[in-house]
Amino acid sequence: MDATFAEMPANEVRLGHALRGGSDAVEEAVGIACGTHPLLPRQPADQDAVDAAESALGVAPDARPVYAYLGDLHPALGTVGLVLERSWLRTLNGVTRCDSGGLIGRRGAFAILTNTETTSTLQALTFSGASLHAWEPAFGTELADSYRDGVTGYVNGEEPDVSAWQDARVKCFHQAVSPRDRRLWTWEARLGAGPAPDDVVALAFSRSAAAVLEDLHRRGLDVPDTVRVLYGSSSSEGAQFHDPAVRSLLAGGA
Amino acid sequence: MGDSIRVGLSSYWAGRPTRFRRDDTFACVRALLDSPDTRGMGLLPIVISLGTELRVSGLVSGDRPIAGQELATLLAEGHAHAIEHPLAPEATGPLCAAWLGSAFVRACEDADAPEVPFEKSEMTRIPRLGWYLVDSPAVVFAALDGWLRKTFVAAIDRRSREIAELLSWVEPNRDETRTALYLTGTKDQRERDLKWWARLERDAGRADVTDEALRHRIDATCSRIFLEWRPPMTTPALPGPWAHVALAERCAERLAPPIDPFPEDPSRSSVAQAIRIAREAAIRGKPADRDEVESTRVALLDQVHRSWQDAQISSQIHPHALHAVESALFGAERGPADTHLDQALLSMQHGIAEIVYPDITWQPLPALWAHFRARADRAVYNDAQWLSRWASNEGVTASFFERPLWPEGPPVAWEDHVARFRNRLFSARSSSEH
Repeated sequence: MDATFAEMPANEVRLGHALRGGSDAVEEAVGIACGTHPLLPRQPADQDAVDAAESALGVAPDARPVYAYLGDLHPALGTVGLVLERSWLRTLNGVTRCDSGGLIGRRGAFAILTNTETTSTLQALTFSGASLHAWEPAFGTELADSYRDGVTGYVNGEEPDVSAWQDARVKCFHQAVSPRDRRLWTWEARLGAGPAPDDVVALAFSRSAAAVLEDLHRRGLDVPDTVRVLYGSSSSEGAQFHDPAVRSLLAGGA
Repeated sequence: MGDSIRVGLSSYWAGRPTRFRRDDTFACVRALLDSPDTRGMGLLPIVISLGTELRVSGLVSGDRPIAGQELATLLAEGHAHAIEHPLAPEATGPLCAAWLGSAFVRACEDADAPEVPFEKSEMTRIPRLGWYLVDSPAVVFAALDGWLRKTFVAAIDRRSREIAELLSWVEPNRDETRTALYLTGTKDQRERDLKWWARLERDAGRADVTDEALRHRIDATCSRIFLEWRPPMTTPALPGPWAHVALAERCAERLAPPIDPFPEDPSRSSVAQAIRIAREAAIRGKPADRDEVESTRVALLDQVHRSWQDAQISSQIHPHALHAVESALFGAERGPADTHLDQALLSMQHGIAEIVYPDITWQPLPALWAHFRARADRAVYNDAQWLSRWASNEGVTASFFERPLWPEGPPVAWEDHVARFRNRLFSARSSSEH
């Protein structure tokens, strides 16, 4: 069920970051919200692809960024996620119009790109250094032009209308069959440092993760009042990974 | 999962329910999502492969494709657990997994909770983690829902925090879970829980919730779950005052065990004495001796009321159980003019709830309190029907008092509640005597 919320401007879209699963992730999320546990760059699951993408983007090996997605919790079916305020963008190093690791590693729909074109494509789709300031207007334009419902459509995972796009994502998009992998069009942000506690808007927990948090809370763990805590649930229709409020927050809602 | 895995074919997957038998040889569950925890039980979405396609099933939002790389990320980062579970040809979607953690099963056994709703022998085992089976969300949820309700009742009836915490490992956000945790918690836990739940409600964008509103919801949950037959509000017409005194005596007798200071030695017990006086008056059809009543009343104050004050159990001046005993005693003395039956009935009804939940009986939870008095009300109704046929103006036959006090059995775990209450009531006295 898609969330519906009043149309939000693209410059209010928040960031999403999924923590690694398991019981420890719950404590880690609370630690980040409390400021007792920094969110550090981590070894990616697809290390070869991410290493290659960082190398293509000129990221020094010892300066691995923290990854986040604009308006999306990735992976979408992760158990513990953070919704982060845009104030965290003060540490922004780069933005790419899609998943950089997937692109350079030719994963999924990116597989039709040749090895020789991946690097140039990644660079063309990336805002960094002198072009970094241009990401925000470009993001606003892409959301306004490509989604019938603008920000709402993007945050809900609606497939974009790519007719106005002029980059290599178009042929990847047409090569794949709908419903397509949203990493083709989900904007990735790379940040130089983890968020401060004030940057954390909400902690989103799946049903299983919520059970772990409840157990920790009974044992005395507290979550700052400034952070919203949102639980997934299950019903006779199945599981709902995250409360609908998560998407509303990612879209910039209150 | 390699790069060769292709994003799905929408036309095939467009509708629900989905039938997974286009090619029966390769429909297979590849992963349990939502990181199954050995301490929990619940409904998990799953990833199904059909040939080269991967699909997430068991989501409220409907099935959706998932890329091989995306699944690989979920597995590598601990959000999912890889399995290899071929689907039966007749399996139709949507499907999900029922999860049963090993530690959860042990915790259920330790807490003597109701049996888990899935047969382990019909499930697939994952060593050191637990068991799963694949079925439709409707079937899995119905099994979980039934267990939650049954276990909620067990937690409330037995005032078991251990069982209440098990509910939280299944559905932490359910009203039943919160109600069970609230009622079985200490004062500090209750206050902390109410604040936490109010905050979760606010965080989820629901209306601003006050403590009072949450308490109403707790009682509404009890009202929804405890569907019990209650006798008519009016008891059958009783023949004469001594039937009233007999009925009051039975109320006192039901509530005597938790407050009897000397259950092994009736000759020393003021409670046993009071009940004997009321019974004899009812059988004789004559008021009890005033001096004997007065000395028993003083002994009750000394043996029970003092302990109650020392134990500081609640804001009530007397335990309701003591009121029930005193009412029977005064009825014996003041009958036939004033049989004190109404006071005895009311005290018995409140008294049962007080024995089970001594610290919160002052709270306005009418559905919960009605649940605890239901069995006693039926027992009284049963007694009253007997008396309406067999008692007379002159007195009640002695055989009336040989009838079972609790025709349907006492309240659940009554002996445990009595022992717990007695322990608290008389512990201060025991320690001062030592």
